[in-house]
Amino acid sequence: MNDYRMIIDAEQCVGCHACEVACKQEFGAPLGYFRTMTLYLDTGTYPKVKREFLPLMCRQCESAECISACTKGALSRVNGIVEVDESKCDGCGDCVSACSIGAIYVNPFSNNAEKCNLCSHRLEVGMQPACVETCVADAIKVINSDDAIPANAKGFKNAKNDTPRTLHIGANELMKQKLRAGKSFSPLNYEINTWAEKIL
Amino acid sequence: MNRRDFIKTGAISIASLQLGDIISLIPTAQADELKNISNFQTLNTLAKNIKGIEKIPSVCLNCSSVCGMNVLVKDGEILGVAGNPNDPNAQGKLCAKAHGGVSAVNNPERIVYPLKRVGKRGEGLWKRITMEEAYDTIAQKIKKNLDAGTPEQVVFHQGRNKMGDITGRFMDAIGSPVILNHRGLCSSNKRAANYTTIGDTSWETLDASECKYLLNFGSNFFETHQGGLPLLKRFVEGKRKGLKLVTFDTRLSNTAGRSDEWFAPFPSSEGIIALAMANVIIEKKLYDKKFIDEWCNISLDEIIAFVKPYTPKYASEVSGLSEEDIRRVAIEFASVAPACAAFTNRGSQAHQNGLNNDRSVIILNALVGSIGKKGGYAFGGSKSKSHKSFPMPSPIPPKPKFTTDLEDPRLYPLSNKWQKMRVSHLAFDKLKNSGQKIDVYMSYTISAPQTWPEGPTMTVDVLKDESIVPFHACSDVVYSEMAHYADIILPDATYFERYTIEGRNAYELIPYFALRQPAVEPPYDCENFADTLIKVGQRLGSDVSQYFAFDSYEEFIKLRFSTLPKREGLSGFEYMKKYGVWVEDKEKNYESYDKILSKKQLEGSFVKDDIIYIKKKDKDKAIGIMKDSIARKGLKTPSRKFEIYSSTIENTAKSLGIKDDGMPHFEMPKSLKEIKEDELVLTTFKWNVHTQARTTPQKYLTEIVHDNPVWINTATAKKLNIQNGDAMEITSYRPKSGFRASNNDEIVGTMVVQAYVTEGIHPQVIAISNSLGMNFGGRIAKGTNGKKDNIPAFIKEDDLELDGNIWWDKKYGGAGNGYNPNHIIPINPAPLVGMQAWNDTICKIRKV
Repeated sequence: MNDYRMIIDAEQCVGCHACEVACKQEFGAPLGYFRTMTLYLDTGTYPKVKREFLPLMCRQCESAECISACTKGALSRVNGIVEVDESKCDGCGDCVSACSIGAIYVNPFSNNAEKCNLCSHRLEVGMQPACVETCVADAIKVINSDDAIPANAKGFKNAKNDTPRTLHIGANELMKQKLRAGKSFSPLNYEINTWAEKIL
Repeated sequence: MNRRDFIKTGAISIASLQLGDIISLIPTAQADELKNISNFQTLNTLAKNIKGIEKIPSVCLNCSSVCGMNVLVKDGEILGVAGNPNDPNAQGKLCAKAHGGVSAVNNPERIVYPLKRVGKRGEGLWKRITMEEAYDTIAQKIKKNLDAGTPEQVVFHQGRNKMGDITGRFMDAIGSPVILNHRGLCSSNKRAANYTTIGDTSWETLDASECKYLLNFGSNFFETHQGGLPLLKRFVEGKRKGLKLVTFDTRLSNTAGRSDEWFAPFPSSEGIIALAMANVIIEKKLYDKKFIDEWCNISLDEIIAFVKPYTPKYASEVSGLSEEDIRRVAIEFASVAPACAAFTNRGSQAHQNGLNNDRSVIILNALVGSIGKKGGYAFGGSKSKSHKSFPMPSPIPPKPKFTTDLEDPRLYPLSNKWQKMRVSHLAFDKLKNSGQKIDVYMSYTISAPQTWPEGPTMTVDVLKDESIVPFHACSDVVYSEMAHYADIILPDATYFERYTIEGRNAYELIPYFALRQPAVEPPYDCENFADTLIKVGQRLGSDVSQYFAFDSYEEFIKLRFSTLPKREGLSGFEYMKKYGVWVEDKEKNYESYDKILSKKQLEGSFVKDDIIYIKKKDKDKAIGIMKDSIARKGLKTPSRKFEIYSSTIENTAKSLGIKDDGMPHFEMPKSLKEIKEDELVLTTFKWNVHTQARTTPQKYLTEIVHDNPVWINTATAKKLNIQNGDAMEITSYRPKSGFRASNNDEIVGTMVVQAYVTEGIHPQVIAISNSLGMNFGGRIAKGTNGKKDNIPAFIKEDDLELDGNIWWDKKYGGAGNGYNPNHIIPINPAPLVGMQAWNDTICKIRKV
């Protein structure tokens, strides 16, 4: 029995965007829609300034709000992963509204909910997810039931009741102000004037 | 609309898009009439085809790092890429550009048929022709010059070409030495610094995974840098073992932002910081006396005298850094020697004093003895792609025995000294103002109208003028900034559809090479430009065609691999097709200079003043140095030692009547030295998802970066009452020394651009990225939704996304496609080498 879990080390991330471009290419995702994003945040005052990164995608919550919200039974847990059954999804967007970070979108062309599923089609054939495979910093890992969970890995929560199964190391809490609960990831996070600590 | 309003509006429009409104933006008529290549319901994705996908080993070329990749193919369609684990440099990893490059293949705005201009040059009116007509037209034009005995009036202008074996052969065969490139815009000061100190003509190859301390003067290897991804991979490994990174950069790049310490020095002061660190290392006796005694070409006493004037106090005054930081960092660096390295890139070298800045930095490695050491400033070890390793098919055309000022400008005598580096940013000025005559201009992988300093003005003026450029043939993948000014456009193959013998400085320090091979055939009339040249060559009469007695570039590559030994029972070519990469069975190339020369290597040699020479073509060629009566390889400098003093520089300067004692020195460029209170320094930079010019048509990359407001420090902005998103006008001036210095009051240009107010930049610096603000290149590059341009080189099919999903379109309240700053950046070649001083531009700004 597989029980997959993703571990993301934000301290290792180099902000290169390879994971999300590989992801979009893997699924042919439309422009403006992202299963995964790398958020940027500049902190500090000149001349002591730092840049932080946060790769973020569906956290496969243990008690997933999206699964509860779906009245069509299109979302379910398989091998630790929250999967979308396209044959049952009608694109109503209830799951989008339920997610506190915006990790689901409804593809306007296929009218299906789409989200990170740890590339389960790759795990099935013994391959790593597209993002894991390409990451130059090895900042993203998928572990299974027998693997130890790093002690410093924590769930990145944007709502009190969030139960993230995917765990982050070194994620800056200030990144949360870039997220919009109930709305899919915004490509506007890529605009450089959203990098600063205080968003104007 | 200001930037804040834009974000609000943009957020609303995006929010509504997510509810499916975007569908209504796509005219249904179009969806019904055309077979759309991206209709999503039927999209052939990698995810649906991962089982049993075909992997074709090849090499990426979406930047110059040339990482090994496996192209993932199903039923003749490229669905994605993955790193090739056999590639010793990238070791199975790829960056965003590599993945984003896939969309170049099926780009609906790709040029797939050859075109002939029918309107005025630059008017954009075209007729589709056959490839035969294209070959004949180009051949006829060149033949005229051959018959008239003026082959040098046929010019080839290349960018990231990578097929110099065939393009060079073509130019040699027709007898023209005039090959222009882009090196002077890129790295020629850096290369000149390595050449004159360590005698290596490539880049250094930092042994980052074993390194403990990196002093980074102006490299943004997290995002760009030649071999950036291979270096980054090793940096991450080193970091896990405690490697400390200190970055000097005027702007908070991703590299600076993730460094243990970031210092923003005043532009051009990198050299004085390095020299002051040398002073501290000497003062604190943290130098490697053995290395200095054995391998430096001046004595310790001479070094002590040399660094004396460069005090931390002096460096602090010029750079704005504190004396304490300069001292502390120098001591930290030297304390972990030899597992430490100080290195450079455009931040330090793209200045008028860039050559000396970079030499000063490299010297730090010599003082602490990290040159060529494990964890240090390693270099060499690359496999040459030259004739020696991969012989050219016979007969081989002789090289032209003359040169012209267009390709070898006499005012910059170091530019072509060790390799053809050239100063091609002067070429268009020379054509316009110095009476240099040309008849045929062939351009390939170069985007001078966009990427050249004064490109949108000077370059475009010249390219449009048929009296200056009578005939222009351009091979390109998309309808580019360059193709727009051509007379014939040839539909190029993408790098997924062609061959190249590849390789880069070997980050494992073990020689290797790689093969780029077609994963699919070029579609429609598309053809590798190498094959086009072969066909043109075959039409130029027997004097030329004798050198092109092969069917294709594939056959040419096979012939070049013919001397490779068999591996696994496969011929060299077959082995390379199967694995994509060949790694030599050798040790890591540490301390190459200390290697003892074998008896065989010493055959026929003689010693003069401890330098070992052999006779080659009646010339004395240095091959080594006697050290304690043992013949060693040494460094490839005139003294076979690490050269702090450079006779090459002293003599080259003398040839121009310039007095230079051959020692590195610090001299602030005049414009920066005399900067006034109301003036700022304009610098440029590159992103991690773009190269200089060729990635903007690729949708997944341009989606991430499509706009480039000007970075300005919070305090500076406050003084000028500029807020984030405000429009500001930049006015730039010519430099006070160097090219056109007598016109230093002349305005080069003005531009109005939005401000990005940030803590991450030096208060006297503003920074704008290159790569953006395209006029051509398709809807993604231009940031405009709509129908395809009516150019008869395109396929009928379209990508539905490009008529509705370009969310950064200004029409939707998006940020737009950015600005090209190059019309306000003056042509500014640095002394001796001619490197473009990108980061020396003086400007004034005001809120508008």
